[in-house]
Amino acid sequence: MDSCETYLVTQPGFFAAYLVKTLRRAGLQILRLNERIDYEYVRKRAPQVIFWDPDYESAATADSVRKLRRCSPQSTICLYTSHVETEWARSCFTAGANAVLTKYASDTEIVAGIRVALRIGTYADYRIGDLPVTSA
Amino acid sequence: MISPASTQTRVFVIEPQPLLARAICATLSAQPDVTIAGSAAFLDPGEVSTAAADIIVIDCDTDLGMLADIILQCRRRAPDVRICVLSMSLSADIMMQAISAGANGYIVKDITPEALVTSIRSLKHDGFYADPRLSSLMLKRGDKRGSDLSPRERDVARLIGQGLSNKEIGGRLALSDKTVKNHVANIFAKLNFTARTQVAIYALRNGLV
Repeated sequence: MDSCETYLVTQPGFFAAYLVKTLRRAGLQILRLNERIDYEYVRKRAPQVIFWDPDYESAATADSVRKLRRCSPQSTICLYTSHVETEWARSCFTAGANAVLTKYASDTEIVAGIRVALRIGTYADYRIGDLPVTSA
Repeated sequence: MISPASTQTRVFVIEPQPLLARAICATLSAQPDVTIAGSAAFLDPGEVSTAAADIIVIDCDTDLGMLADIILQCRRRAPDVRICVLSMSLSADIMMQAISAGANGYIVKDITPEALVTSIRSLKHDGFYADPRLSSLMLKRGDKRGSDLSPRERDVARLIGQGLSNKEIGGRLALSDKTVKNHVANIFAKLNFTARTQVAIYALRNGLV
């Protein structure tokens, strides 16, 4: 699999370093890591993948996804979350997210989920519930 | 209990997020003085007692409300274990909740691998660790009132800072257990603290140790 240029948004620290290793296994090449979304960077760089670990999941998450989608219409937007809530995930998909991966997934599931999202354009972790998207 | 002569620190990790659990274990097990005694997604009291861990790292983000109960269950199985709470929040309030629940340490998930290792070593050697960004906030109230401590209370605070139990403090200062308890209660009241770990950090920060 060719490597996909990826913009990673997550809390820095020891976990981020480990997450980067896992994402590399999925074929993602990390261009840049930020703690908060830099929309201007997304607009200019239009990365193939935006992998976002939101700080606090809320209704505002979907607004941010919508904004990301406007900044970079072709990017595959993946959310990585501990918030296992069907309606929240549905709102993110409606706003333009391609994948919702949960933090309760193993690294193998994360890698598989990203690959599914890249291949067919959509993926949802089965833990989130009944959504009209495909699980790996 | 951690022996001062022991060179290895055994760490048990309770973390429901597999990637985060692996990140913690991988970071710590790369150190020659740290051994991963085990890991679990959720508390299993049986596993905690058989792991013979010196330190248990517990993620509090999933269920902060249950933290006090989880810590209590760990202590029932392993009375001398040191408990380090891991949180995504750089929040003095959550840190206070964790320490009040009986935690010996509080770390935030954004720390570097080096800081994670430092926190575990501090827990082993000093008996406590608090994220430096938060401990200064937590101690502001205490600093203002610290001068109210009597000389004997300062002695007791100093020995708490060295990780001694009430019984050991009594032995050092030739005081009964009851008298030590009274001094500790007075220190808590004067500094508006609720946990020995706060007193220990206070003692360290104020040069008593």
